[in-house]
Amino acid sequence: MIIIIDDDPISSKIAALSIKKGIPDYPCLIFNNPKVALKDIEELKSKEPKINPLLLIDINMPEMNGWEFIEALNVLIPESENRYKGMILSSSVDPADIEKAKTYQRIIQFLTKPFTVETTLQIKQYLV
Amino acid sequence: MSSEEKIALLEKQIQESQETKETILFIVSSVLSQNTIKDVLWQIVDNCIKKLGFTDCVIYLYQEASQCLIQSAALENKTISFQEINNPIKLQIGEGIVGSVAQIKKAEVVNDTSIDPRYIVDDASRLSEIAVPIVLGDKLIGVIDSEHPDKNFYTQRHLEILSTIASLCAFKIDSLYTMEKMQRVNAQLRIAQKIAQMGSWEFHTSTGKLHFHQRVEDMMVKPRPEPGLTFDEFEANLHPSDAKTFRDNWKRFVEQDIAEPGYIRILLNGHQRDILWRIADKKYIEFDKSGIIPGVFLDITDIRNLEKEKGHLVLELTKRNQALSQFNKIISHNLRAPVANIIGILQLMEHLESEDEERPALQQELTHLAAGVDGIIKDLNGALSHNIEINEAKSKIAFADIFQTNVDLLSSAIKEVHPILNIQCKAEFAFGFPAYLNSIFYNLLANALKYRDSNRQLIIDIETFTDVNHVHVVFKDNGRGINSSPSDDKIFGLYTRFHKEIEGRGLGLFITKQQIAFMGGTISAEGVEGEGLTIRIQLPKM
Repeated sequence: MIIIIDDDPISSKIAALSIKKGIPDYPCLIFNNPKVALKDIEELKSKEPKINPLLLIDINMPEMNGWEFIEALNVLIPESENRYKGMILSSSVDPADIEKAKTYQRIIQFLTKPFTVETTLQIKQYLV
Repeated sequence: MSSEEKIALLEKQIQESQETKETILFIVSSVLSQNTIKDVLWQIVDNCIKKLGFTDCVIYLYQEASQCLIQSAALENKTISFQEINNPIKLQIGEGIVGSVAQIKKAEVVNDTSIDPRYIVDDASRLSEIAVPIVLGDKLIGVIDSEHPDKNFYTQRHLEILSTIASLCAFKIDSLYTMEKMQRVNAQLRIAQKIAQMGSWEFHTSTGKLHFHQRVEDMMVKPRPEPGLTFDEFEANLHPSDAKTFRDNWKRFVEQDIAEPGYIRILLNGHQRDILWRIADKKYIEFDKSGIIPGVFLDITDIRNLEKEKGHLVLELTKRNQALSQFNKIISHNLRAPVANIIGILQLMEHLESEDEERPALQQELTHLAAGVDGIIKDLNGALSHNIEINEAKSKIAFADIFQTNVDLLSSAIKEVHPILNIQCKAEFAFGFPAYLNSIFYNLLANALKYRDSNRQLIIDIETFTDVNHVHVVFKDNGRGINSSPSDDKIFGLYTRFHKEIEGRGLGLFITKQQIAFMGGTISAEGVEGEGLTIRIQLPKM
C-alpha cells in the first residue's frame, strides 16, 4: 500500500493516477492534511499490524510540514521498527532539503515532482 | 727701566686688561642675546672685525653627519653687510690650520703662514692666522678663524679674547642646537598628532587647570580670560553622562595611581566629538616634581562614524540578501510546484486512453495551473522590478498622491464595488522608496476590495499621522477579516492563504511586509473573522 501525504490536491491526484497506471489496482491512500494522516496511520497500525505501507511525503505543507510530520510519525512508529518507510515527494530542488532527508533513517529516497508512471516503476522494488 | 716707566707699563697693562674684559663682556653679551645659531655666528664675526680690528673672520661649524667643518659665517672688513654663503668651504678634520685646531681642540696662533705647510690659501694669501676651537667639554662644535695680511698680527690678547668668547659661545650654540632639535621634535609630534587625530593635554597641579592645545581650548570656552580650563569649565563641554566617567577616571588616577583610558564625548564648536582620553603612565614620566601631569587624547569620531556606517551597510546588505533569498524561495517552491504539476498531468495524459474519464478534469486543471503560473510570474515581476528601482534614493512622497495613483489603478474594481473611502491624512508625507510605497498601498487596497464581505457595504478607513520618529498609517476595512492579533504575523507569511474560495496566491502581504521592512518600518494586522481587518504601518520619518 502507498500512502500519499500532500496538501496539493492536484499533485496528489497526479501521483495516485500514475500509480494506478503503473501498477493497476495497487492500493493507494491520499491525505491532503498531514494531521489527519497521522491519526489514520495510528489507527491503521493497530487495526492491521501486519501491513507495511510506503509513505510519499510532501515537504511544503501548511499547518504541519513534511519534516514535522516525520518527527511526529517517529513518535508513533519508532524508526527502529523499520516499518512505514517513506520517500520525500517534493517540488523543491533545494539541496538543503535533500541533505536533511538523508538524516532520517525512515526516508529511503528523495523524489522530485512530478510523480509519473515511470516513477511508479522505479519505486516498485520497495513495495510489498 | 725706571720705576716711573714700570708704573706706566703696569698702568698700561691694567688699562689693556680692563679693555680686554670690556671687549669680551661686550661681545659675549651681544652674542648671548641672539636667538638663532646663525645670528650668534654673525654677531661673533661682526664683533671680531669691529672691536678687535681683524680684517676678516670665519666660523666653521662641525657637522657630525659628514664629520666635516662647514664654513657657516664669514666676514671681511671690506664687506659692509652680511651675506649668505653660497658655496661654503668644507674642511676635513686635520685639514689646514683650522682642521688641525679642530683635531687637537687647542687654539693656535700662526705668526708666519709662509713657513707653515698646513696653510691653505683661500681667496688671497695672508701671512698670519689665528684659529680657536669652540668646544663644550669633549664635544667639538666649531672653529673661529681669522687671517691677516701682516706677519705677527695676532697677539696674546687676541687669543685670550677669542678663547673666552669661544668657550662662552659654546654653551649658547649647544643650547640653541638642543632647542632647535626640540623644535623639530615638537613639530614632528604636532604633525604626527594631527595625522593621528591626537592631541596632548597637561594638568597643572599648582593652578588646578587642564591645558589643551590653544585651538581646542578656544573651541570649548569663549571668551577665555586666561589659558587653561578648570574641571568645571571642561566638564561643561562633556556629554552629561560622561562627566562622572571623567571624574571617576581622574579619581582612580589621583588616589590609586591607575592611569586607564577613558571614553568621553566632548562638544567642540557645538559638534560632538568622541574622544579617547588617557593620563600618562607613571612608568613613562616622573611628574611629581614638576607638578604637571601630562596626557594625550585621541579623536575617534571619524573611526566610530565609519564603524557605524559599516554596521548600517552590513544591515542593509543582510536585508537585501534576505529579500533575495525569499524571492528565491518563491521561485523554487511556489513556481516550481505548479510547473511540476503541469509536467505531471501532461505525462500522465500520455498514458491515458483518449476517452479516459479522467481526461476532462485533468485538462481543466492544466488550464487552471497555467493561469496560476502566469499570475505568480506577474507578481514576481512586480516585486523584482521594485527591487531594482531601490537603487533610487528614498524620497518624500505625498500620501494623497499615493492613494490617488492606486485608486486610479484599481478603478475598474472600485467602480464595481463602490466602497466608501474615508481618507484622513494628518501626516501629509511618507518617506521611502516611491515604487515600494505605491506597491504597498496597491496591495492593501486590492486586498480590501478582493476580500470584502459581499453582504455589506465595503467601508475603508485610512488614517495617517506622525509621532516623534515615525509616520503611521492605519488601514481599516469591514471585509471578511481573519482572526489576528498585532503580534501574529502569519497573515504576512509566504504563500499564506486564508480565503481559499477567493482567487489569490498569498504573495501580496508577504511582499508588502518585505518592502516595509526594507524601508526600516513595521506592519501588523489585527482583526476578527467576519468583521474586518485593520493593518497598521509604521515608517521612519526620515
